[in-house]
Amino acid sequence: MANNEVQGKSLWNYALRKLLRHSAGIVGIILVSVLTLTAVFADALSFFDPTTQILEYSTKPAGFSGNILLKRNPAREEVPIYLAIEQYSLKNDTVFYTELTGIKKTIPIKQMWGDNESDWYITPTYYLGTDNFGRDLLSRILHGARISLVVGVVSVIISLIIGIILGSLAGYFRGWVDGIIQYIITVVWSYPTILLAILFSSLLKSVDDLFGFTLDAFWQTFIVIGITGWVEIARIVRGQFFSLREMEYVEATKAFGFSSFRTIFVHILPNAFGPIIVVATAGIATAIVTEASLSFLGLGIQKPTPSWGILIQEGYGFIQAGLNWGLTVFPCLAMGLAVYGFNLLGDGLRDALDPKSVQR
Amino acid sequence: MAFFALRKFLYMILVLLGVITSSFIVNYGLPGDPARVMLGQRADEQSILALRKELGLDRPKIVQYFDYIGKVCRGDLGRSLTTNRPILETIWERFSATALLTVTALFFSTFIGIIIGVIASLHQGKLLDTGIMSIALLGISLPSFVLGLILLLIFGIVLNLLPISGYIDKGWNHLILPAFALSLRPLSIIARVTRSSMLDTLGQDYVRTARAKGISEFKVITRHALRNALNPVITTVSAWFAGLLAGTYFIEFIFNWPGIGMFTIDSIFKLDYPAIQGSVLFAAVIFVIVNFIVDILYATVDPKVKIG
Repeated sequence: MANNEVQGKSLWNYALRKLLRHSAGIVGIILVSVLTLTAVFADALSFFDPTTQILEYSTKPAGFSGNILLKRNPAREEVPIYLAIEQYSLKNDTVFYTELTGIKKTIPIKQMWGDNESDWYITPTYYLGTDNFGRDLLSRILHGARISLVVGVVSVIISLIIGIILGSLAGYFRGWVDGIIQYIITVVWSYPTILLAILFSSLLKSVDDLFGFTLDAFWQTFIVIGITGWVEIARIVRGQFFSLREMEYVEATKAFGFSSFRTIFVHILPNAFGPIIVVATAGIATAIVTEASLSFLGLGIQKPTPSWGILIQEGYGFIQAGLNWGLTVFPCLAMGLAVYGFNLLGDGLRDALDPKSVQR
Repeated sequence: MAFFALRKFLYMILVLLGVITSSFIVNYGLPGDPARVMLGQRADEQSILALRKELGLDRPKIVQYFDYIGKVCRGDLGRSLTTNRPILETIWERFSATALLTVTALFFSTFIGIIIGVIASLHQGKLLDTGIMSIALLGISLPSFVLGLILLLIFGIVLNLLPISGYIDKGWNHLILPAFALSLRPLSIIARVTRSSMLDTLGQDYVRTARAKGISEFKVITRHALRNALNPVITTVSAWFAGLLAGTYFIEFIFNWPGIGMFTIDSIFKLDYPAIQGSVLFAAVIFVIVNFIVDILYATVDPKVKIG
């Protein structure tokens, strides 16, 4: 039996191939992949825990090399105590070491961290230097990627839920439903996003419990960014539904007697996915910026969690004094690349998913 | 046209009412004691009770709501907790500084953005175009406070060319860095829109006709192509006015510019909740009014806008 059937290719297949030929799209994919991998493997990639403080190594320049002994912590088993030293020597199961202040001290080897010398003596390189608490800037930036990505994705999901529901209802039912939803969109649109976020988060910061729930800083940030970011999505979905509801297959669902709910979410919505994905990708970029802006003002993620906004805010104090500009520049760079990546990917997806766009 | 303007005006009033209502819901309608929110978690019972009475929080919500609308319409946004002065008074004092910064940035970004966009469109697909558009996307990607910090570092500290803090009373050069930092984002967006709009018009028959007539290339571009490409740009400029306003908050804070934005951010740091709430409401109202004016202007300029 001859198989003469031509294997059909889906729109997604075409879109993916187009995206892979789109130079901006490829750079976007690379940047977003790097960000995602960094977020997932932040612990493995960074030498220190992002909150580990070695106060003796406060505001060291990029490339500084540490000289550190690790001691067992009697209070907490799982974390060592870090001792910054000049030098040390080992004699008869006792470690003789010189502190940075020049004071000579001893510790029995039993109190040292781990079993081997390589466990309790380390010489880490601080590739990007340290902050004012002697924390490794690189480790903090790497962990910041995780925060930004999580905030970006979760808050965009919240925005998507609100935006898709309101947008599809407005576009499908039109008339007074559309009128009311358009009105809500216009009112929310009147507030610059960041100001609305500022208003909400300063409110959430001052209220202990809202509707009986106590929200931690993470969820506060997700929700604030989510409920300020849905407008763009609702507008796109509404526009899609306006044209899609005129299609013949929608008429067919009516002839079958399907409920409006089923028609909207099962039949029309999947056909609007392309533009929704594009706007959601750009939405992640906006959410990352909003999170950083809020954290910069102390209204988002709280210290000592290493959010990029917090890192920039901590560096800002030094920049004015003309010192340690790396503390500001490196987090700015990291955030810029992440947002740039999502914007490039969004651009690439828009061209790839648009059937009218010319194949380049 | 008069009917169109009246309809737009009535809708603007409706939107303003919605803005005031949403502000009321956020500040007074949600569970929790607004007096406690305003005074902070550590305030003593005495002062909370006093503020509750002063704000009339013991009355039914609906009475409070109409009272709130009345107050806002009379321009009463409450008093600042830190200075105890009427908030609107402080905002008006600082209005000129913010307006100067915003308008300077708007003109700069529109002018330069259009030029850059036209240049890119004339080199479509070439290295210059790709380069300009990649940088423009980077400009969109960076939030205003990051751009501000980077410019401050480069021009203010490393090169030490320009002052990094203060108002024009200490010299006009204080305006340069904040205005430039504020304009980069809208500039990038305007450049992108101008480019794509130019590419549309450059392919039109009338441009080819103009070229065939032997008109100089400069005239073809400025008089024929650009003129018709400007409509979407105007919409973008007006739409970005809001983004510009939002950007001023961080730029003013970073460059110590005594405008409304710095007042708002100072209020955030001082936990002065009435001041935060008042200045956010003020920004929203200004934005709605600006949008209304832009709509009317746009309708008078572009005959294609539906005036039905």
